Amino acid sequence: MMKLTALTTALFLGVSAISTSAVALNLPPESQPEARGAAIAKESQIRDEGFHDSISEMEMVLTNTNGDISTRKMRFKTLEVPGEADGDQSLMIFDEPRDVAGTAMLTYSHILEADDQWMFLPALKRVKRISSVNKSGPFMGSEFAFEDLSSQEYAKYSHTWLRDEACGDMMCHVVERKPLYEHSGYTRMVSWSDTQDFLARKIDYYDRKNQLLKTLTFSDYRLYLDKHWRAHELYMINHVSKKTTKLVWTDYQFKTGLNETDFSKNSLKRSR
Amino acid sequence: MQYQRMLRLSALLTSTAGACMTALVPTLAADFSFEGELTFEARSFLNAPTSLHAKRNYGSVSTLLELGIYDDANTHAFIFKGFARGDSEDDNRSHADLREAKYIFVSDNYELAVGIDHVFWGVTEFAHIVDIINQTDATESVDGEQKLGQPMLRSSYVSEYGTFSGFYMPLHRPRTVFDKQGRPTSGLIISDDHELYESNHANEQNEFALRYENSFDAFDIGLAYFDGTAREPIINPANSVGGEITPYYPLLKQISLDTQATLGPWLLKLEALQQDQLDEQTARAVIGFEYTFYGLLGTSSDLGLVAEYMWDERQEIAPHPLANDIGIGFRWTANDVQSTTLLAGAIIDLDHQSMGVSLEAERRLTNNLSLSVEARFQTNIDPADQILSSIKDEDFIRLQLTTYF
Repeated sequence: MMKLTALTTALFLGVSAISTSAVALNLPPESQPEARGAAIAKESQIRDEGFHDSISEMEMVLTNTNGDISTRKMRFKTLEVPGEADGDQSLMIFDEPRDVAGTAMLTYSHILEADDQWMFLPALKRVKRISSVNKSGPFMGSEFAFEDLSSQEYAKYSHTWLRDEACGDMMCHVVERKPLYEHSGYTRMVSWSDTQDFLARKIDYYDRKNQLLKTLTFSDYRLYLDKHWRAHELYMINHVSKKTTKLVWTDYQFKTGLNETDFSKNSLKRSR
Repeated sequence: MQYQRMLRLSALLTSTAGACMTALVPTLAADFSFEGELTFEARSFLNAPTSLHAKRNYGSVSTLLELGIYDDANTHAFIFKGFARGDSEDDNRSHADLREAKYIFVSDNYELAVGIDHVFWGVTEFAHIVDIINQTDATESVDGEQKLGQPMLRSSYVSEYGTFSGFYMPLHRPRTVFDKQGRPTSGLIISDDHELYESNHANEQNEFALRYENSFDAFDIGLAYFDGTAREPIINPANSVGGEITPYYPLLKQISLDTQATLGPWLLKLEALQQDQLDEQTARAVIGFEYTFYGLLGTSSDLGLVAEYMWDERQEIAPHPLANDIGIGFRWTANDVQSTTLLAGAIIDLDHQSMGVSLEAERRLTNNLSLSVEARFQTNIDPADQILSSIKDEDFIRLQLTTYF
């Protein structure tokens, strides 16, 4: 049975698969859209495995309908947690606006259960465990919700492959995904990921009334350690409010030697 | 004189830290950070002062400067945080303090800090009863959340069984007090340069503390032991010299627990302690919850509700007013670009039904400028409630504008 599926998939993918992808991948056939969608999502996750840890900086540019701009700056540290039971651990430290500089957030992400989150308030030197129910709320007044910025393990969603179509110069798999975790602000998302490297290129977000709410586009992908692709610009437009938020990532570093103790409640008190 | 002794000891601790630093300089491919803030403050009291010296309006300027030097590997760090305020009327409120001046060494599971430091323990919002390490800078805010730097040696070990920390503190710092021109005041003038200590060594004694912290799924717990001198003085008018009361600091041994369960939008909180002071064993506790409505009424704002019960076994004779009180608070967060926040809180005394109310609003004006407004007033004060009736005419509004550089 396994062999037969593999054979059918190979036939389906045909010439284009051989010419666009260096790695032979046997996706389930189009007649099995759920399995095919899940396989595409899983593949993009598997291809990024093994980064161990990363450090990066991010600038967030918020633009309202009058064209007024405000910016935020923050740094991220991420520790890869192997296995499929849990998501990654991350530490986010704010630099700007200055009234929140030094505020840091530690997250142990889980797949379907609520994440564990602690916030460090530097003026009081206080570490406060916070509720992670607030998935759909805006992050720092931006068009990104907390759930858009949290770790995106494929097991957090159910998937349905919709079609393959051209996206710019590339071909993309178009997959619909529905959040399986509680408290999401979305009924579904539709994501475009390219057929060569399985990188997210665009996501449409549909709100609780199933209306198109936001579109996120990914650009300026760069390759690290010959394996890990990172988009350096993310652009979110809210179709209802017409506000936009641009994220610009810089100074990505991988395998920097961070370990579990750098992601402890104790280390949160001296995060910088 | 006290202050000189303190400076001497602080100097000793910081010079030890300095010596560590000097040894490290060659290894430091130093990474510097320097940040500062400047705050302009106006306070206006709604009632004419009951004392001769006090005023209606107060203006002041304060600054906080922070310098950090770090090595590339983040193993060694030197952190300095200095605070200073100049007040138009109150000489005691015009003060400077080293909030932090410490050297930190971090190696995998181990952390050592030497110098002046600031640590916080606890989970509740209306009272911080287990938070014992740092003395309150009471001239800074009436909520007691501003703290003086504490000279200490601190070491922590992080293991899979939790985090173990030990503290040694060679010096007790007395609580700051308003001068006779200062407000809000209970009318009692407390000395700011003479203190009485139960300890034979006055403020130069050896204080110790141990702390254990861990998280189990939804539960965070902290256990602590403290052996030293109380941070909360006993104010007895019998100890008066020249019209000023000399505060008395008894010895204190204390064991405490603080825990929070985080269950979806619910935070359930408990702080409890047993203390041994002046041959008396007493218990205190704060128990309560916080619940947040996210995305209030379909908007992007949140509304948090906090309710806490504060209890002290000593009841009416406790040296603080939170012996049988309920605190209720609302926190509204707009989640807008300016991070607008409104906070309304009330503490109700269950014995006398008197109530202290606070309203606070905060908003960012630009990335380097923010504004906050605070109002505090007392209502329904029972003349039999000694602590609150002494401050019944001390309602005030405070405006703060902070610029960052």
